[in-house]
Amino acid sequence: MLRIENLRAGYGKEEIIKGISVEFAGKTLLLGPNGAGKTTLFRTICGLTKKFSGKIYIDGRDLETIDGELGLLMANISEIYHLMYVPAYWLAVAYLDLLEGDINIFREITEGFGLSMDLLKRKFVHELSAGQQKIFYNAITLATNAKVKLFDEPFEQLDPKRKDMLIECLESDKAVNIVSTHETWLLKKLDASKWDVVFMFEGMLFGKIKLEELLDAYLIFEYKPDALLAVKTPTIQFSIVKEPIGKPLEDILSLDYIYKLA
Amino acid sequence: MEKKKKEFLTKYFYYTIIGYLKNPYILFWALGFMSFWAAMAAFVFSKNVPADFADYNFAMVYSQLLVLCVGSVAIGIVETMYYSSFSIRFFTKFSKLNSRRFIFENALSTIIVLIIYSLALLAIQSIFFNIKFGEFYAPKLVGNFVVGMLLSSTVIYLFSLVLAYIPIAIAKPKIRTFMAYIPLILGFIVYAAFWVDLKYAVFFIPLNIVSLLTYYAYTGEEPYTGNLIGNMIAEMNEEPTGTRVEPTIMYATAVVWIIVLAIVAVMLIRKARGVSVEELRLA
Repeated sequence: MLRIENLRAGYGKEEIIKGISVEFAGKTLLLGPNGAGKTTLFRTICGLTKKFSGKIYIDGRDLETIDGELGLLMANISEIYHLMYVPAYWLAVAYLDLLEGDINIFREITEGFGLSMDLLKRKFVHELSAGQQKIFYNAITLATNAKVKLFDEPFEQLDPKRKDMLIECLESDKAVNIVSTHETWLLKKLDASKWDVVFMFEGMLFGKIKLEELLDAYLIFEYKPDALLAVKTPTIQFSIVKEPIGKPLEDILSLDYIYKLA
Repeated sequence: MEKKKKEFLTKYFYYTIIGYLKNPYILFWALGFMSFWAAMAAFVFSKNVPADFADYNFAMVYSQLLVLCVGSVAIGIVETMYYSSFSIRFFTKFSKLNSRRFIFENALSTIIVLIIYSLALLAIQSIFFNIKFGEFYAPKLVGNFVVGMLLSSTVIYLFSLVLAYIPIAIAKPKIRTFMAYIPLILGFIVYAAFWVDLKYAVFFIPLNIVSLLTYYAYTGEEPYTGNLIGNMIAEMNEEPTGTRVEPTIMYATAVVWIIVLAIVAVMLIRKARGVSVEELRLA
């Protein structure tokens, strides 16, 4: 389980994460438009971005005191894949040795996604295409036995068939999975009984609600405290309701459109 | 469940060595380019060196080319450390490579890499000099040669670490390229000692310790502070020569450099932990 208490984080003096408190368990979809602070939140959890205040507990362990703790956290964030200057396959071998993951699972996933071991043995990560890099990062993260796994925009650059394959991988993974995305098409594809959804706007979190409740929901641009979800930020306010008023949520392909529609 | 045996070194150690040894840029500058100058030294510049001075000539050339060789490797170390700094931050928290193990494996692997490149250059130069003069030149003080190589490699490693972490600690990534090339800039200053007497400056350039320790171990004689060619000619003609460095001072200087650089490196790494990815990107 991942617990965050009143987290404030950012860069320089600019605050990006504005006082977040949340608990993640099971599978959670972190939905928010580009620039909402999803990646910054993930980087802060990984210890890469400066925390101004607040606490992060991973499986009960304070992030500040963690040193060489195996099996707690893994993420598909590109910044953490630069430890050594060796071709991609050997990087995966070394990473899964350090994280005590399973290289066979890595091979199975990457080959299933159409990445051959021969290619990975020849090319460095930066020489792979954007989609291939995403598959590589996702596969390493899935092949570890970490209790909490963060997937930042894992579907980006993937074709529809591979997106479906990745959903299968995520849903069969035993860890606490937090998947960030701005694409709402995903809601219809996931097993609604397994997922919670948390919304992120302008560095603040809203929710969590069960995915089952979100399906067939509608979006209205007014603040209704009794709605399924009510969002109010300095620049936008909207609610997600069950009643068939407003715009069906499934019609909005990406949360980036919300600001345009408001 | 079968309990996994805790291994002494992780794959990070092995792949760090392999990464440096297969890096085409380091291979070209540290060995390819230096091989050209080693060949020039053997076949062109050593034409008039008498047989009695052949071993001194060999030691002089090797000790100077070695500075440029390890200076080139140092550039690669600085670049690698810079690019891997955020991965290091993550892995020291969430993998079996905890902070202490990382420092140990990173230092050991990098020092081994520096020694391998140093010995590879020695092998290449020995082949060229053997073709030209028909002899192999071994160090006169083997023990000092080994100790000297360990001390030199440690100084270069720590110096590279300091240069890599300065841009991160002060959140100024734009100075990274300049920082990375400092070892080579200093290397060429040391290289100028062929013709120029650096006098007491030899103690203030960390790379100079490489040249002094190597020359001393190879010849068994106190090294000069500079003007190496001029001093060799003066020796041939039995004329007065320049200032020499006492071995005790030389070794003490190496130890002082190691202590100072280690303290600065630890301070910078601690400071760098508070710098975020975004701060570096925006700086």
